[in-house]
This record gives sequence, C-alpha cells and structure tokens, in this order.
Amino acid sequence: MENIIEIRQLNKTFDDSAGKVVALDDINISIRKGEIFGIIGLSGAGKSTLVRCINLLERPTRGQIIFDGQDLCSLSKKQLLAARHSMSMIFQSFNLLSQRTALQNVCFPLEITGVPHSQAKEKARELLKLVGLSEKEKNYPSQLSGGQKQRVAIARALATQPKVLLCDEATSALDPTTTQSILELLTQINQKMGVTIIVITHEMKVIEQICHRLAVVDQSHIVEMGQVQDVFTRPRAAATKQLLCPTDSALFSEGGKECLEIQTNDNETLISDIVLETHSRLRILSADIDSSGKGSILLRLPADPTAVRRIKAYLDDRQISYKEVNYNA
Amino acid sequence: MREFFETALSGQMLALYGSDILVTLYMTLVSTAMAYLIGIPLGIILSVTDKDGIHPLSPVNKVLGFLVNVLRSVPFVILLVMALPLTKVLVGTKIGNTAFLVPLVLSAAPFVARMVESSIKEVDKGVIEAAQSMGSTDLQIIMKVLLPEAKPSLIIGGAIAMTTILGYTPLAQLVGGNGLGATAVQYGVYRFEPAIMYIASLFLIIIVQILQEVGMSLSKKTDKRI
Ligand SMILES: Nc1ncnc2c1ncn2[C@@H]1O[C@H](COP(=O)(O)OP(=O)(O)OP(=O)(O)O)[C@@H](O)[C@H]1O
Ligand SMILES: [Mg+2]
Repeated sequence: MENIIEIRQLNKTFDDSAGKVVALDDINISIRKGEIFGIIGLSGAGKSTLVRCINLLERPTRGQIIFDGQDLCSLSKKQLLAARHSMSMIFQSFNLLSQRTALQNVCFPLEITGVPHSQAKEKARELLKLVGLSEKEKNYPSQLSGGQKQRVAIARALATQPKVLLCDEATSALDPTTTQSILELLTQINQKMGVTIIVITHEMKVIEQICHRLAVVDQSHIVEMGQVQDVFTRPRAAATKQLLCPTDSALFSEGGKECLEIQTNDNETLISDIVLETHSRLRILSADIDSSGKGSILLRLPADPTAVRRIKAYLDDRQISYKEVNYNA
Repeated sequence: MREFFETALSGQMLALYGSDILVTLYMTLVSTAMAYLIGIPLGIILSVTDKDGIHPLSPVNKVLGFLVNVLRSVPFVILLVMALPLTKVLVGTKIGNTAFLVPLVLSAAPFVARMVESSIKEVDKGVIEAAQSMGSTDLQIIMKVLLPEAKPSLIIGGAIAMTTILGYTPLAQLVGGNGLGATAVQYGVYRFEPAIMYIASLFLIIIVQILQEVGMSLSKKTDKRI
C-alpha cells in the first residue's frame, strides 16, 4: 500500500532555559494512504510535538517528513503553506475564531486559498450539512456546545479537501457520548472521503474504536507499533500495558472483581472459544465439571479492562451465565 | 451664589463653551485618529516580531520597542516644547489648535502602539496556530485573525486613548490654543473666575463619560465571545 506520510529519523530537541529537552528521538513511521493511524502515549511523551512536526508547526531538529512524495523540511515557505492546504488539523480546544460565525469559520480556509466568497459560502454550507450543523451556521462559537464546536472545526478542516487530517486530542475535552459521535464522524469521513486520519490520544478506547494501526510513544521514543488488534492482544512494551490498564485499581473500581466463575452446560470448547474470540489470555484457577460437561470454571481475568469487557460481552451474547468473584486462595 | 455664576453663565460665556466643546472634540478626535494611523502598524509590528509572535524578528522588535519607550517616557509638556520645530515644518506655525495636534499625536502614538500590541497579544495562541496549520500567510493572519479577534479589546483601547488625549488638551493654552481645558485654566488660574473653571471642567467630565460609555458598549456589542 502507498504511504502518504513517511517520518524518517525524526528528532526534536527544545532549547529550554534549563537546558536541552529531547521531545522526540529517532521516530520512524510510515502512514498508509486511507488508514486511521493512532499515536498514543502518556502525558509528556511527545505526542503533540510529533503531530506538530508532521505539518511543520514545529520544525524538526533532524530527520525528514515526506508528505505525498515531498520532503516538507526542504520546501520554501510558500510551498510549505501550499502543502498545508492538503493537511488539516483539529485540536483539543477547537480553536475556532471567536468573532466569526460557524459558517464564517468554515469559510476561513477557503478565503485564504482565494476561493471567491459566494463559492466559499456554498462549500461551507455543504460541509456544515455533512457534520450535521446546518441549522447552526449563524451561531458564534460561544453559542455552541463542545461537540458542536469540534464539528465546526472538522468541517473547517475538510474545506480545502485535505488528504490528511491530524487530530491532536480532538475528543479529550468532550464527554463520552459526544466523544462517541465525533469518533463516528471521523470514521465516516475516513470511509466516504478517503481522508487519511492521524489520531493523537492518551485514551485507549479512542484507538480501539477507530484506528487501524497505532504507535505507542513513550519518553520521546516509539516503543511499539502495529495493527491495533495485535498490539491490544499482545502488548509488549511496558508503556502499552500501562495504557491498556492504567492501574489495577481502575479495573476493580469498575465494580469488577478479579475472577470470573462461569457456569457451563456441555460446551466443551468454551474456554478456547473465549480465548480465540476475545484475543485474551486466561488462566484457569479451578474447574469442577462432571462427566456430562456441566459445572463451573473459575478464571483469572486479564488485567486489561477492555479485554474483560470483551469477555463479558462474549458471554452475554451467548447467554452463558457467569458471576464475578474475588479469588481467595 | 447667583453672583458667582452670573458671568459664568452669560450669553457670551455660553457661546465660548460651545466653541470650546467643538475645539476639544476636534483636537481629541483628530489626534486620536492620527495616533491610531501610526500606532496600529507599530503595535502590529511590535507584537508580530516579538519572540512569541508569528514572525519573530528580534532586532526590529528591540529597536522599535526602545524608540516607543523613549517617546513614552518624555513628559508631555517637554515633548510639546521639543516638538516645536517639527510642528513648524508640518503645520507651518508653532501656535494654535492645529499646531497643538503635533505633540498630541507624537505623545499618543507610542501609547496607542503599546495598547494595540497588548490587545493583539491577548489573542488565543491556539486560534493563531489553527490558522497557521491551514497555510495562512503572516499577512492573512494579521488581517483575518489577529485584528478581528482583538477588535473588542482594540475598541476599549481606543476609548482609553481618547480619554488620555483629552487629559492633555488643557495644555493647548501653552501654545495659544483653546478648548474647554484651556478655558478652565485661563479663567480658573489667571483671571480667578472659579465658576467658569468648574463649568468648563464639568463639560470635560461629561465628554469623558460619554466616550467611555460609547467605547464600552461598542466593544460589548462587537464581542461575540459572550
Ligand atoms: N516549546 C517547548 N519548549 C520546551 N519544551 C517543550 C516545548 N514543547 C514541548 N516541550 C517538552 O517536550 C515534551 C513533550 O511534550 P508534548 O507536548 O509533545 O507531550 P504530549 O505527549 O503531547 O503530552 P500531553 O498528553 O500532556 O499533551 C515535554 O517534556 C515538554 O515539556
Ligand atoms: Mg499534547
């Protein structure tokens, strides 16, 4: 598959008053055309710096950013501005112009690329319709909810028909329901318009829901990269494990217990089915099954809460009864 | 009491207040407009070339900042005297209301520049960054982001600048100019007619109040953030 962006040996060092801060070190990522690529990491890992290097809001100290075949670092200022027209960005804080209406905000990128006013307005209306905000075109940002603001920002980002959409913590300021709807919108944009999307987040559920591949950034380095499925089921780096399961207590505070007692009837392959379907590792602590296959099995749950959720969903689907218990060995 | 106000409210004096109000407004409005003509570009350059600005340019910023500070630290009365040769060149005479505009503008422009600079620096960094990510040129950012986003704050700054300039207008009498302030000083200090001084000052206070009020409500009306 063709690569739309190639980040090669990227290094970014900040000159701080306290000395040099290495924010990114030897980052290599190839982003494929049409995919949704997630970049996840804990706070301060360097995610924002990385995404800002992709459109050169931050100039890399070393390395190359190849976008659509051209090395951005080697472009003249004019060429770089032109390249940015095909690479849009949305932000955690939305960053809409406060003195412009929703419609005028969407018109902004068209104005700066010299699209005639009436044409820009028409295009902006189309985009507001796409994000479901047609009736809010005259509202100022202060008259919109967070989710609506992000929709306007997305419409604005799409105005110049970009090839890539960069999202820096685009849902981090939103509640779960709104996050859900924005993620659905992004998926829809990816599928219908073929826009490559790069999602920066510190939330695994965002990655799990919309990304195809991901890279885990920890302390300025990429510590893990691959298909979301693979990384989720077989996390190798410590940072990935930590992101998958922020703290053990988080799992238990969900009302979850550490073990699951499953009642089986005659389903001989139940355990292997669970493992295969949910891509989780399980440990059988004890089993009490009679010759007909009836009985109970006590399983140690994996540490990853999303894996636990998958297991429970699988059991619920098949109407297999279970109860959560604490294991006192 | 009646006596006290008799001359102060004579027909002749009322006519004088009338013309003084017009002269005061003329001096204030014209010099504010000219101060902004100079101050806005200066303020923009100061904020844009700042190290956190959209186009950092340290030498320009330092030199301009220094000049502005020097001009701002010269007391107005002294500036008035120092500007006399320049006034002569620009206006053709060193005296009168129009001649007085030169030192007024000279003193207000750097003040306005600093106000414009601080209004622009208040603009949300994120919004500027968004505009940059869309490939805006620096000029587009100035015209389409910085100035429109700073508009409410710029309007308030305008009202403050006008009030400050108004506060300097009594000194017009030093160069043979007139206006409410000059009248107040003339009659209050030299001719000892305190009633006239009070009435002229009252008009000044009313003008300041109106300017402030108009400025504030205009700013509130244009501001879409609330
Ligand atoms: N302009 C700057 N000057 C100096 N240091 C910086 C600058 N920007 C970022 N850094 C440093 O680089 C590192 C990475 O910062 P970055 O903002 O990329 O982290 P992040 O992963 O986006 O974190 P968060 O999840 O909190 O947004 C941090 O140590 C930060 O202090
Ligand atoms: Mg960040």
